[in-house]
Amino acid sequence: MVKNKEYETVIGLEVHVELATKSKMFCSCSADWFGEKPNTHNCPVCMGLPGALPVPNGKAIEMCVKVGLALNCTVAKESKFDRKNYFYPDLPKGYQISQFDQPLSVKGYLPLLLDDGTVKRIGITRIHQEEDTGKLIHSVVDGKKVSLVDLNRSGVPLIEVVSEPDISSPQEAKLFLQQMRQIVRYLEVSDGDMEKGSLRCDANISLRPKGDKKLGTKVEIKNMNSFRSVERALESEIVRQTSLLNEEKKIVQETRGWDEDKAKTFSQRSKEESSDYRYFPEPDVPPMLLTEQQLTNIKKEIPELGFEKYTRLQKEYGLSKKFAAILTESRNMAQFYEDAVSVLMKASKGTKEQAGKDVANWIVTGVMKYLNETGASIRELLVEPAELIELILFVRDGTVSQTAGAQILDEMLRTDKSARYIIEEKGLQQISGTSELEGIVDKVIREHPEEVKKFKEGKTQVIGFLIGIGMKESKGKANPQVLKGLFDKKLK
Amino acid sequence: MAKLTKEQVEKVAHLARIGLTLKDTKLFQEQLSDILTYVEKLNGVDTSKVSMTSQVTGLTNVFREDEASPSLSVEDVLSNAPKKKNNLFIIPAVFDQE
Amino acid sequence: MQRFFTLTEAREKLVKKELSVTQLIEEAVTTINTTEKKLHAFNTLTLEQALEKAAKIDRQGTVKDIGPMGGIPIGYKDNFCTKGVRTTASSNILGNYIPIYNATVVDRYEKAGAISVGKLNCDAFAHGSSGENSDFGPTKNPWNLEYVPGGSSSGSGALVASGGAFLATGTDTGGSIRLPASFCGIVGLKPSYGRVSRYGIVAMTSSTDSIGCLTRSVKDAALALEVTAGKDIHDGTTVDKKVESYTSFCGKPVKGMTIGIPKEYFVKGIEKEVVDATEKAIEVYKSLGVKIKEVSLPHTEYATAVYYIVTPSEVSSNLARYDGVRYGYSDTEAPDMLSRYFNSRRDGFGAEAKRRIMIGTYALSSGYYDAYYKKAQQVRTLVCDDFKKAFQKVDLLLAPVSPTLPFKIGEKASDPLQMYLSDILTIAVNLAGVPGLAIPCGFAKGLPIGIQVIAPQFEEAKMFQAGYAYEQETKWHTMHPTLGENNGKK
Repeated sequence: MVKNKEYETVIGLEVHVELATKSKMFCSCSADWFGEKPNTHNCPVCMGLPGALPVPNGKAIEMCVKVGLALNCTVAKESKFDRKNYFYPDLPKGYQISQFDQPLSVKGYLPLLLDDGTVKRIGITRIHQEEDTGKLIHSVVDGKKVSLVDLNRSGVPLIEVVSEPDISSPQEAKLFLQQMRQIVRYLEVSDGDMEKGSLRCDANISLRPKGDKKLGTKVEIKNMNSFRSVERALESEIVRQTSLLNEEKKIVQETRGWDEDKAKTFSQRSKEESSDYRYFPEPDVPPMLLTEQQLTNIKKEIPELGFEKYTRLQKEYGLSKKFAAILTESRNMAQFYEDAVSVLMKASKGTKEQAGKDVANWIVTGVMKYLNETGASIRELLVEPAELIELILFVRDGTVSQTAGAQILDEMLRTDKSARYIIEEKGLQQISGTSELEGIVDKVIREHPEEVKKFKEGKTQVIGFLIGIGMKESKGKANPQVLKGLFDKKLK
Repeated sequence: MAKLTKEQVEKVAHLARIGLTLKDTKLFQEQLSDILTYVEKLNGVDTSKVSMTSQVTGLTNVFREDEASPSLSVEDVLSNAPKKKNNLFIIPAVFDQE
Repeated sequence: MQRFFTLTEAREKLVKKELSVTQLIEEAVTTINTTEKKLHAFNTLTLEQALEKAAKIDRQGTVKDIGPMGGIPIGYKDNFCTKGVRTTASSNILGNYIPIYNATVVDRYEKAGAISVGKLNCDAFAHGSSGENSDFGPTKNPWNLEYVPGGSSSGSGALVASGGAFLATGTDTGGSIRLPASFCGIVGLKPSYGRVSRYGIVAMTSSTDSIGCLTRSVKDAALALEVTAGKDIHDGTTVDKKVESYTSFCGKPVKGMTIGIPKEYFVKGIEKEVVDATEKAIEVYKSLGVKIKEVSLPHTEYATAVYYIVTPSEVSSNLARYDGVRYGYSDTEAPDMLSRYFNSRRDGFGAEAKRRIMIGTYALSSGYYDAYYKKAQQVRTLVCDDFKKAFQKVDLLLAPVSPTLPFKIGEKASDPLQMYLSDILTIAVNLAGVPGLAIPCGFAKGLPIGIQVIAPQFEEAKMFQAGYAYEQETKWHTMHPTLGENNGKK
């Protein structure tokens, strides 16, 4: 029996990002096409009427350059558009205005943060600007299967990011996409929403025997509409290719679709015929020359990115990798966090690290929990950083207990009431006076003779249980330190 | 320039999505070959140090402000449609050929 | 009879109220109604609307307030999109196409007060030199109905020469304005590329399409350019240069100017009558005090080859939108999309459009791009450089428009390459994007001959200055065809 070889996976991604401009790439129709009535966002240009001419959207170019800079690319000083010629009913002009041999950006990398906290550089081959196509809807009209053409999306600005084949697992591919999304969101150039198609991904995948230098035959996978489907499609393709290789069968270079329901890839077409795109320079759009000054101006607009923040937050506030990753997932979250820390620093003594960790704990356990439960975004949050700090200070100075604090935060998030208001409304001030708490302690001792006995026999750890009961009796308001003192005194 | 083969003409016609009759194919074999032979005279020009001219205005960086303006009415968009229904253009069913 | 006025003369009469707009348009209608049967200059007539518009202008008051073209009849080549008026580019594939917007140039003429009499026949998609490539049948030369009027702006040439309008628009991609102007004995203006907006004009070769006009005098062409030139936000290739008062250059003396005669334009096979007429024109300029200098444009012989790669390549792409999905001829019964494409394009396009699409597709296809397209665009650079160098020595260039007199209908129709060579003297101008002005310079065998004055890019003013001086000296432009009614020339 032939022993099956071990294979390694080589993946390169082509990521399309729809830019969040107001107008389309080459005309002034609104680019906000999603969910609109069909064929209501069109003009002679984006429906490819005779005589119509494209005029490029400067803002889109700027956004494309921003992504290039954020991905550590070299931005081309000279760039131009080309026509990519092919027929498809969702492509009104019969060509897509794209870029062929002079893309806006080349040769960069994305520092991919892996789950174990290590970083792997994934090369970026190129980033270019192009326009989106319309959409086909498959339907039955008068008993006949037909396709219907909606051109609302036609001409929406799109950038294509092509990675080097540096990705070695479906998991990494998913992370790459998620981090691409994070970057475009930080840059505010796209909502990066895969479900809406604002972020789309094609993958080139091949296998080769472990240790081999030569790349295997690659297969292109399309129609993966979520992070999960990218991961699953690639996993399934690895299984398929592995078994073919093990059976010593040839891998066909082709394009395969992903069938979400059957959880399988399927052959769409072989590569040869369709690939003759007959590119040539777009005569209708003058070339682009980017000056140093323009580049500097665009650079200035690039904020600190997620990955940079992630590194800095660990250093500056001593956060764990996990917390740093959570808090930098979005620009708004990181902003919220750092604003809160700075309010706390002003309002109290203590080191930056203490403040940083304290706020991080509150956000990760309280705010994030709420966001995950409700699906709301940090932008929609009713609580301001200063309001969170007010609460933290109430906990710190003993006005309310930690337990009550968590309840108060939850209420703040849901109702837009302030901490102070909730504390007063519900009477949640922590009780620290021994006289108020003595009654509770006496009651607990009376009602739990077993535990009291154990304590007296020397199993002192049982005091935690007794304090817990005491906290419950006080509806969370008792100061646990004071309770502990009372139990110690009374049970001696 | 050798004469274009029938297969070459057919391949080009397919790329260009033009239906050809046998007679067309034959005629195009002749005519395209004539024209391509004529343009071969360009090979006599040394262009090793010459760049391409795709545009002659010298213009660069012609951009539009990112402002949205109203689109056409859906009636206008569909006014010349060969086949339409419910504000959409109808075409024969297409399944991921591309 | 005012049908053979120039636009400028007609305007004067209108302004002075010696003539009403209605009278003028009525005569145009009468003329067209009699000549059209013989010439087939039109694809679509809008005479009713023209009369209504004329009446409206007359009711409203003075032509002067309306604009520089107030009340002037105009014909649009049928590749200019006109809102609500069928625009076919003389191709079956657009046989029933009704645009929902106007070309920028159409808007500018309308704003200036011009009145459209209809849409003019041309070679389909402007592919041709004779007008015979129209899917709706050829236009005839008004000087001799057995001859071609030149193309592709064939209807434009025939209309203006026959007195149906003072002005017709045209597009000049490789000579398509200058050639019919020359064959019809009128003036043809091909402005610099980038001077006039291409927005709304059915694209042929995007990098050489120039939007101009055919008129009965140089000054009329200058006025038309004043109306149409300038930056258009819808065409990113239009330049933001000042539009000069071109008409004010008509009448300035030309003494001291230097005009170059490119020796390569006197090609093998050029007809003697053409050479003679051109030489006479040179003599006229000399008599006006112009210095004449022989110059060389050494890459002229390659221009046609460059053009017949670049043009089909861009054409193959520009005509891809005619796919039977959104507009135009469509085989709606086709069982699948591939057949819808194949059948719609097979039956919708004429032979020449298909031929160009095929050549272009081939030239751009994988493995051939460098040998054809890239090579052609490199040689194009040399063609452009020829002009730059020549214009360092001379103000303008002068050459014949066509190496031959107008030819007979059918004479070259079966040999595409011979037809392509009709543009041998006009093409280089398009590749370089410089302006050219065709002016009548005589007759032979009862058929007109034309010269072209070529200027550096965006220096149309100089071209009008020289063109006008010649025209005033010779008066060839006052000769008119009689459409076979008698053989006289006036």
